[in-house]
Amino acid sequence: MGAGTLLVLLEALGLSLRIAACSLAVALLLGLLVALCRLSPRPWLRLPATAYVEVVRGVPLLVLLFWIYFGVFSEVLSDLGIAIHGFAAAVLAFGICYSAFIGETYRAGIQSVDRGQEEAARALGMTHRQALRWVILPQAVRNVLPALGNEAIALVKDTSLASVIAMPELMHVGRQEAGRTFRTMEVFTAVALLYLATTLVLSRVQKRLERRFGAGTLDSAHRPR
Amino acid sequence: MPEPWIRLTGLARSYGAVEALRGVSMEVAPGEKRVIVGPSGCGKSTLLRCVNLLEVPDSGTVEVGGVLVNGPGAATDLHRARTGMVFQRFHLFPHLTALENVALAPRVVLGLGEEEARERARSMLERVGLADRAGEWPLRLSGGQQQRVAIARALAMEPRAMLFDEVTSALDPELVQEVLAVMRDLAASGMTMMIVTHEMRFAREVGTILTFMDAGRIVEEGPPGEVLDHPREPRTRAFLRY
Amino acid sequence: MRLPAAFLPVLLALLLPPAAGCGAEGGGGPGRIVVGTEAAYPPFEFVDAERRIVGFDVDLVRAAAREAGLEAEFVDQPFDGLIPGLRGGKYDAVVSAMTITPERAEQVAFTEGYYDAGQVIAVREGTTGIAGPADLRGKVVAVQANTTGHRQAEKAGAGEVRAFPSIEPAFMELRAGRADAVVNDEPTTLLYAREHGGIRVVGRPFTEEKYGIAVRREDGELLAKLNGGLRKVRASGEYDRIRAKWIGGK
Repeated sequence: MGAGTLLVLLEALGLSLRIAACSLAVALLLGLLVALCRLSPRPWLRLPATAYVEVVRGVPLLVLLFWIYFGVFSEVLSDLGIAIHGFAAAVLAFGICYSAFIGETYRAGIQSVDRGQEEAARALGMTHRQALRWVILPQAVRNVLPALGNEAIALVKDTSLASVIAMPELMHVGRQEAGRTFRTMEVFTAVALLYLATTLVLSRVQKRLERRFGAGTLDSAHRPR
Repeated sequence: MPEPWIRLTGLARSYGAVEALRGVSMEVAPGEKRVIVGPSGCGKSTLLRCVNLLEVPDSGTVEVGGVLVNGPGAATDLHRARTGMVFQRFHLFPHLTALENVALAPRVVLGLGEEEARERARSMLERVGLADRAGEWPLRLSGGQQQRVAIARALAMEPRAMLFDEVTSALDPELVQEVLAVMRDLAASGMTMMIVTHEMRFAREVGTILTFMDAGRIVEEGPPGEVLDHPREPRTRAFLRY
Repeated sequence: MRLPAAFLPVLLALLLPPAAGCGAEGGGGPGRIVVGTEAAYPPFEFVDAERRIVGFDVDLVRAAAREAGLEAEFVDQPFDGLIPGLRGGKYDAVVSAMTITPERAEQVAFTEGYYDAGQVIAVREGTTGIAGPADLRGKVVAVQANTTGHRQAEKAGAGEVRAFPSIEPAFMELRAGRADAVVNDEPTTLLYAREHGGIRVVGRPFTEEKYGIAVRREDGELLAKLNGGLRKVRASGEYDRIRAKWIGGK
């Protein structure tokens, strides 16, 4: 396998990472919205959010991708004079798909925070929103960081599905290079190592975040200074 | 007799079939130290939680400073900000240091600047004798220290009244006194206080009026020495004998 | 990057699905051969309503094998994986509308060409200004990855080549207006244009290429048998019947 192939693969990895990063941003924001709606006492927020989670979790990511890129969605957009670009379609599909899973993760995190925390915040005169922002969510996110790390890693690897809409991401380009050079084993192994390197970096980032957000937890409290 | 700061009228609260409060009325004058005692389940904690509306009474009124606070359109958050509460289990925010715990509400609720809020927090921690532990995480503090931080956190809002809900019940015996000492200082400063407690010596020493409750009702009340030494009601006598 | 040779069979076994109903060595046993194909390319090979792999290639290989005293069994596998799978022993032969190219011929051995195909350009109805490969320069061209169409689009200097894992989404891309043209084998493209409106084939095929059946280079015996079978099928008129059935008259 030549240096040329490696360069092509690295470029493809760059695209995979850009898709993953943008999708993760979408999923983290949308997921938060979904979780807050699902925990809302108002049925007109809670019920649609619940339906959203159930539907999105049940639809294969590949189908979601096709719907957005080729389906009704893209037709509506093209009637509005907007051609949905492959990148945007991929980010939207992955973002929506992962928002359902990440939303559930957030929900579990919020519910894991002791009720006394909200009461203490409200007793100080905070509104529900202020209590969420300053007291509940920081603890919820800390509690679910390991789960979020898992989601992020799974997302990076799921970006390979963008090949179905011809995005030249790592797996797709790897297959093309393998087909071009007939060095399937070498190319695929290189692809695997690139994914592995990425997930190792993500694990490090996750550990760092856990340490930062974990300040004040029992674990860190018992660590000698 | 000055106008009462807190006036409760006919408070009732049920949880399903359980009636926690069955029509309780009470007036607490400015600067008064009202001590509320009674067996567990008598409704004393529910009463306290109704005062700052962590529990919403099914019926009856809560007036604070002459303003009805449990009616429609009442400024509940503002009322809570002016009425401090300390809980049995502290409920410090574990992701924030002691100083940040105290500074948070002044910053986000009162809109103080970062530095001003920290300055106020520092002086509150000093007041409860914990200036040197300002940067510590709650879980590295002893129970007594955590409860003192919780008191400082409530005081940082400059409340007009303070509610104490069995604040020493979760503490090891040797840690109780440091918390009571802080409360004694606070009482001496003229703060209006409602204190639910099992510490009878403290009640006698600090309280101006002691209320004995049972089964969601007030059984008797009066100066602590009088009620504790010469209870009129058989149920009070039975409770004090344990 | 090179791997220790001992790892290769292990990795290969992990990466490629085993051929249905045959042992690890891939041989179909005496009288039986396993043939790999990507069954998503009508009319050459596709899956019919009864979930069977059917098409021109399938009937042709069955007939040629029968002439050689062999029975052919088909497994479906993405196009990209066909040559590695063949070399890895997952099947004995590959038939998948595969053009005989010098690069591929270095990897595997091909029978004589069994079908004269050529690449054509498909555009949306109403598109003007694309009449041949020279007009593809700078255009967005949708193709199936690693096909001759893919290589031709690159050679023509397309501005962007969008390579899909199968041919169907490439046509969808064209219909959606995000690609200016599709470069692909003539028969499949004609079929698609007939089945779906809005697409038209421009001019005549601009390449001359032949489809071949691929076998492992060391499998000279099987190669000879298949070549012999193909010749007999042509001579008997069977070839024309199969062609008429799937593709239509010459």
